[in-house]
Amino acid sequence: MILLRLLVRVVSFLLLIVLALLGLGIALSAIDPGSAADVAGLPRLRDRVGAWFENLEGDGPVATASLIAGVAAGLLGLALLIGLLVPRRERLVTLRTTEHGPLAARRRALADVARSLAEQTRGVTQAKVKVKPRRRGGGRLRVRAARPRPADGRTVDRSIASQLETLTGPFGLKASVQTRAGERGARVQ
Amino acid sequence: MLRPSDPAVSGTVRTRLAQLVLEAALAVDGVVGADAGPHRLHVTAGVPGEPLLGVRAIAEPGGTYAVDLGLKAGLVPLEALADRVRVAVRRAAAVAGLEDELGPVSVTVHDVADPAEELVASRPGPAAP
Repeated sequence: MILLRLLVRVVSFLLLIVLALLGLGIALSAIDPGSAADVAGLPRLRDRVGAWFENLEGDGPVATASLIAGVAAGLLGLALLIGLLVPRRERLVTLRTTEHGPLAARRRALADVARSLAEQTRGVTQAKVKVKPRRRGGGRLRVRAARPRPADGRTVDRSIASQLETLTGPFGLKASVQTRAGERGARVQ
Repeated sequence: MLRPSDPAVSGTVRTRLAQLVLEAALAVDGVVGADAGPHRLHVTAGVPGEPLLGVRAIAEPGGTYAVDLGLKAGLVPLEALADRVRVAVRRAAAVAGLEDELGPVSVTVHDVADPAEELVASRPGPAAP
């Protein structure tokens, strides 16, 4: 979906440029039709593509290529429409729902909290957290942390999980922790 | 007699409720600021001046308004923070005579303040000359 939205922005920007150039061409042709056509190279264009248009009318490789191009253009149009019309989702994790109303958090906010907690763990030099929300509320935290080489991986994993308990426990979030030995000279908390 | 919640006094009930809910939430310890969210969905228009960012009030069938708050929080336990926000909001609504209009209060944490950022925000400013 992100790619489709990017595509929509790029194509709409390019279309605006084409529209501006067309406007310029129309303005020029209104002033001096003959010279505007020469400047735009329309006579040469007619000579070049005239034969191609004739080939389109019959069977052959050009007709096949035009069919494929037509289908591709249709698919591109469909992709642009999807990118433009499908509503954007708010990436929220519902932490708890009570009679007083729900408590939710954006994935990035939750990841920031989890990363901050993980990096407070003794023996952790750096942590990255990804949050995946579940449809029925709650979610999963995936923690990747770096530790110094002498530190025992399992011990650090358990310490991080324990540190995250203040966040995961009350909301029933699942956390998976993986640590890897950091590079030499990495700072230790 | 006009109650403070009457539209004739100050805006509509919806906008008035949104305003006081936002003010009450921002005064809660652990709330760093209001955040309308990445798609600016937590916004209330119709208030004199700028639209209110970080809150929206939606009319419900029973005559109440469901209030959604979008907040930037500090690094604090989120459940306790949401409870404190709801208590403060209900108290503010009661003081303004709008407790019957207030429905469920949703709390959405859009962002979390960096601890360093919080430290800077909590520091007292330079003394006046």
